[in-house]
Amino acid sequence: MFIYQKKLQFPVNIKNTNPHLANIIITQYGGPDGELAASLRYLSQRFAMPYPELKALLTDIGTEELDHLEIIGTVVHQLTRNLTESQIEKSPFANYFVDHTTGIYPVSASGTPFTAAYLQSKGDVITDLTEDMAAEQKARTVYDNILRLSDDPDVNNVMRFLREREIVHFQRFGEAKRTRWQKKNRVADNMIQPRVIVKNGSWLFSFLGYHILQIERKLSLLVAVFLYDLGTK
Amino acid sequence: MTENSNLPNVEKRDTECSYKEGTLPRCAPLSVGFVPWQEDSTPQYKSLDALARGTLFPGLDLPWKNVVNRTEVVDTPHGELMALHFVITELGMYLDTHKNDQEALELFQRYVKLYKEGYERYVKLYGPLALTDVTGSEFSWVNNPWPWDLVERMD
Repeated sequence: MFIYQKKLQFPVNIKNTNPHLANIIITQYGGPDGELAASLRYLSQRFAMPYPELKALLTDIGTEELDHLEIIGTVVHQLTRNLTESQIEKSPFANYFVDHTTGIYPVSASGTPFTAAYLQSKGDVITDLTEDMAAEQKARTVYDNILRLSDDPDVNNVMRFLREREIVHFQRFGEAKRTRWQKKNRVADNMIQPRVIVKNGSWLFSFLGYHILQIERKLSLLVAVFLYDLGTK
Repeated sequence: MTENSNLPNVEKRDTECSYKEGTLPRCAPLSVGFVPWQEDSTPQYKSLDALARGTLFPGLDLPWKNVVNRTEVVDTPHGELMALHFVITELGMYLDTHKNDQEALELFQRYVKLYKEGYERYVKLYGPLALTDVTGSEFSWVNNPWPWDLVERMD
């Protein structure tokens, strides 16, 4: 379940209103690479994840994306306070204003309303993690573009923070995908350890190794049964 | 070189690579995009710097056009608590993929302790952060400011 905390993840204090900028930044609320798509993607993919570490990672990152959704909503809200009619008329924000006034609505910069087609939940570990890594890079590019278009320092502080979070999330998804997860004993075996590949005779060694292991198991079972017998007599 | 090395030899490949394991070019595992592993005990920023920059780890701090936020950006009344919560978020995520890093786990627990102390102080000064923090005769949960309200700073 979710419990609300009455604070933002990062402070937002935007002194100057700016409908042009609001019209661009709203895309990270309900656009194709926005925070709503991100949070829904990760929080939905969780359910089909077979490994506990990945359930944790998707929960933690998905929850942080909800923090970011709230931050973007706050930025757009503060950028559109006390607008005058002439300010609105002169800006592309007029197209948004006519439908939503200054309410926060999930829509892209071009005016396309939010759609679940922006995200995928495929029920396959590799596919979902690959999608997630791509999503983080796409969102990072959008923040690059916002920084290219914005000269408001109060806004840019927030955009730089959010952009950096995409980089960290990408790193974690990348690490998760490099890990060879073992379903049986649920232990993560990181792929950084170099694996020794025996080129010649590997078949013979693996054959012998397997059978020695089997013999060992049978022996230890025999010993256990013997000790148990001793104990009951 | 064996005599058959120029022929596609599917059977030979099957004996050299176990299923879904190995290294390129002969034994590619299913879809491994290369992301370098973050090693244990990487250096860390202090909590306020971490929040301002958006990461606890200098190694992952890759700002656009090399412009970074100054720490003053987060130096608000709530900044300290935000910073402590942020480090917990960041370390929690790190531990999701590095759960055997004892040093990081200890650091995580130290920050959780600091956060809990900071949380108590914050609630006493500014009112409830969660619904369960409401005490006394007034239902202070509804009071302004809400997080998205612009609070003019007095400095």
